[in-house]
Amino acid sequence: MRVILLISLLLCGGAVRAGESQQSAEAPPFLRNALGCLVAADFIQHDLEELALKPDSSAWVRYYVGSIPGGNLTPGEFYIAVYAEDGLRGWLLLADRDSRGDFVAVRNAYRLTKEGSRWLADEGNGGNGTYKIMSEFATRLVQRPRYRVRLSPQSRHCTAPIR
Amino acid sequence: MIFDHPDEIGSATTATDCTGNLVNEKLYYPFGEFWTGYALPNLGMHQEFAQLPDYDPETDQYNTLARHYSPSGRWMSPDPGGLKFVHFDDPQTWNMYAYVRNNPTTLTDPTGEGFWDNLGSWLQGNGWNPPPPPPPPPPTPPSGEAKEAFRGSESGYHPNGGKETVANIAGHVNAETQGMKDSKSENVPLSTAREEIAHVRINSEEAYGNKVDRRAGMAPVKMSGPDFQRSVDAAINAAVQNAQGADPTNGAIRMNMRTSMGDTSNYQGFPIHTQAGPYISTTEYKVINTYGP
Repeated sequence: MRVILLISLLLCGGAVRAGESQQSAEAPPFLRNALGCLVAADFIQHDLEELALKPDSSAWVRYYVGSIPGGNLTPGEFYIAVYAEDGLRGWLLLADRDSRGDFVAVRNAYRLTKEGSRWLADEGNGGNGTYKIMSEFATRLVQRPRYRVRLSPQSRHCTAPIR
Repeated sequence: MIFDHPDEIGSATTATDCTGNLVNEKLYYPFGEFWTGYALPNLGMHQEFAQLPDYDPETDQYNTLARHYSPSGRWMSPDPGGLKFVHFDDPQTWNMYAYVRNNPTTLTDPTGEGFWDNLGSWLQGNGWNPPPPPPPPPPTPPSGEAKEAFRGSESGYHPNGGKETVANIAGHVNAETQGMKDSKSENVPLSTAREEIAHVRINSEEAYGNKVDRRAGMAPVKMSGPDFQRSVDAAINAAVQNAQGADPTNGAIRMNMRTSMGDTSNYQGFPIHTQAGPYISTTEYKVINTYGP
């Protein structure tokens, strides 16, 4: 019993020290659908090429749905962080839903760079004020579950990207 | 039979059955976000906060006849009563998205409309929903007024008939550029760059309407700080230019900040329209770019 307890404590301690969530179960279908729409957009493919991620490759992702703390009210908006294999870079992609419930790849994304334990966000729409909010959000996002997802373009649940 | 027991602001926090046993208990954060609670399995768990009539779990919003309320503490749209509920001698009324004067533990707004006048009527003992006031007199054109007064009147103008006033647009510009200053090496004054940001906001609001924050969001409005008046001036200039059909950004609907003037690469497939800078900045981002189709 003591051995089991000790092993449990060691495992939990390791996770806490790392400060980041560990791999979770299989990605939920809506996450795969949203990502499929995003990856089908050429401007997103261009972003992911920066991370050496090609269509149909696999990547670690985290997601959040709703309004970002300190930001604007965006209920239902999908924020999906896709990380490079080196764990030091990423893109925070945005997907919305149209009136039919299909996903829309938003032409706005934030480049993520890890600096120490923090993630910095830039490049997306906005300036210093937005980048500060998005950086804090990206740093907190690592506490959410992480999924390994295949970046397969698909258009079944998609609306064409809006300009 | 189940009996709800509302608290002092009308939130249904507990419920008991006919024998007095507790069957449902809910606690809310001050602005109505569900905190914790339990319900017997066959009773479900419905949220009733501060007499707001209907909670939609799918959108996480309370719905009233007049508008929707987010438990993050803001209405999703301005008071439909419009400017008649804004009193210039009371800054708390300026934010028409604010919920109950940011005092949610003692005040309620079950209708979502006319809170300020309802509150005044209630405090005077005349009930919560007094008869509607007579229509306001037609606005007087600003001609002949002093220049500053004219510019002040412009801050309430809605460019292109959009949702946001010039003052709101200035608040976005201020939030994005606060702390930036002119430099000796800049290609255009920072005031020009602020005007360009205002143009981007006007254009993107025209392009996306109520979805502008989901498609091309900027930092939330910040109407304070040493640079706010400069941002107001910039937004007014941009609004006047826009009304005259002039747009130095040539229809840009995105903007960002970058670290060097040499970086003119595309933004998510959009080509660059204008580049301003470099400015003195509190961050590494010293250049302000605009983009569009």
